[in-house]
Amino acid sequence: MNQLPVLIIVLPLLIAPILLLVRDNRHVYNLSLGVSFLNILLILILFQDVYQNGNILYELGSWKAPIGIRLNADLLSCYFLLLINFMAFICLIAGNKTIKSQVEDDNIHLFYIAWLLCNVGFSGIVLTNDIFNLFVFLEISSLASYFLISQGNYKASSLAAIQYLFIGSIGAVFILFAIGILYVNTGTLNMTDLSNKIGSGSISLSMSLSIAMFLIGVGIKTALFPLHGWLIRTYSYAPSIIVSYFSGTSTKIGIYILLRVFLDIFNSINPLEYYNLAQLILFLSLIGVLLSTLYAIKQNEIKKMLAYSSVAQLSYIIIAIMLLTPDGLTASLIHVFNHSIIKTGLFLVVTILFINNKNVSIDDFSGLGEKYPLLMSAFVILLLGLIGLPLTSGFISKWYLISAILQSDYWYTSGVILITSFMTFFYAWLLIEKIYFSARLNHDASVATSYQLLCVYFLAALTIYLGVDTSLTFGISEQISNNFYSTINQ
Amino acid sequence: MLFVLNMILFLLGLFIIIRESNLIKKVIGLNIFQSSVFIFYLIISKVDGGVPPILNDDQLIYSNPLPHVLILTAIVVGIATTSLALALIIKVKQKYNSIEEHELDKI
Repeated sequence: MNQLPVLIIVLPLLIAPILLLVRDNRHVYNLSLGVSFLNILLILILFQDVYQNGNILYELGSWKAPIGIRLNADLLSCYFLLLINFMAFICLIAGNKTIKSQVEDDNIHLFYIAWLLCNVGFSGIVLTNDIFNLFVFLEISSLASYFLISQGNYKASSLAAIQYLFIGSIGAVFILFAIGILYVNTGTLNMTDLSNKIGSGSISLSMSLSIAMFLIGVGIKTALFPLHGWLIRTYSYAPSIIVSYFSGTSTKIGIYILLRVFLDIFNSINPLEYYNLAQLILFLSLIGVLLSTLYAIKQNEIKKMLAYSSVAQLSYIIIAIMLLTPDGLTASLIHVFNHSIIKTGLFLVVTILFINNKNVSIDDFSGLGEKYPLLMSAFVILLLGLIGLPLTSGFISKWYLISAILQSDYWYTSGVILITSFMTFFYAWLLIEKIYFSARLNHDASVATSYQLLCVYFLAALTIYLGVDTSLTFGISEQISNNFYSTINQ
Repeated sequence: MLFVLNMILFLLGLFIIIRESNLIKKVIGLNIFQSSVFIFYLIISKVDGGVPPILNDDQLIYSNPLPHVLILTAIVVGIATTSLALALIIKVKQKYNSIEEHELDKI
């Protein structure tokens, strides 16, 4: 039982080089699908165990904790782990046909290998209890994702990939520098040990440099408002299945690192409060929500529109965290889960309908309601979830977000949330109007396979289910945030 | 003093990445930027009067080996990043026939 955390990382890591020898595209696909499925089973068992018995620690090579590398599966890790691997599995099922037609034939097996490695990186970041290890896993996932993005069939794909590489590497080097400064100050790299040794009281100059560098590094990874430019470019030119996958995982990993570093490692000095950083980030995110929602309305290209909407939704999550209350953290965790499901679902619909179209505009949706009644109703359910109408999961997260804001010192910001929700309604309505009330264009929207349709229906059903029964998202998020804030208040 | 020189190197690298429009020069900037952090780790591992950490009866003071090990890992990551960047630049060159960023943005 105690071997589970390491198995989740090692299993895909072992399979990936074997796939390089297999080479045959069909076998490679089946094997990577199998590994993802096995991983989800392992994670469910781990989650169950952690939920009932508390943290599971695993010492790699039996080296004891502050010296050796330790994996730590707590409730927060399991929550993100389940989300990421679930999204990877869904996207793998739905992506097979799209990958065949969008990626060059010789590269398909490499594409799946990079996909597995990227997922290993994400799982590793979430599970590790060693901060340098976190940097290594971050780079594993980033390097794999640069390759995945460059495989798009747009002319600008390689350019988008290399620009993302520069920005991502700058972020990673900032994090590396911050880890070095932390090591000088404390002499340890183990996260639990770090948070004990940092101690409370005033913050030294070098420590504040480390905090600033972490903030820049993590800000780039989460697409924090002024640092969000890469997300739009990447989402517009990556293969569309990769966009569906990353919209649910890559930026959420940034959120996880933010939580881990600022609320766990630094919890005794609480830098977000100490320097009024929380206030600064909160107001930046508010501007971010307003501007990116405005940009989303202006976009005619659907991928860009959804990318800007992603920036806005990520800003909601960051606003909720920056309230620095248990309710805020609960709201942000709920929204992480719900937004991943909704946004991945929306991108999946775009992916499977328009395999060959490179630039999908809003007009391409004209009259599709007649042609694909079921698929389009699933799409509309997901859109309603994005707006946050009742009976969808988006409503639950907006509800907790607004009630958390009203109970905090920043109650006046709730107006911005309401206005932007209304603006979200506006651009979603543009799409709904095109789908149901416009004449059909002669577009060759491609025929989706039943597996792909099942994935979309499943995500739409999940959006409604999580809007009615909140025990999974709310119950676990509340428990995580209570754990965090009880240690801070001690 | 060493830290100041190191910070200058750090900012220089960052400046080159942001300022240069040639993609190859950007990669060089990225390498300078990464190296400055590697050097930072080497500076902090040095102990005054310390020798390399090899078991020896005469010397009891030795430099901290852990940052050296960490930075070996980071160097490997840096090499991977550089080679991937160069490979992507070849792709960009094939598609656009240029690697100057201000020209690429126009196309």
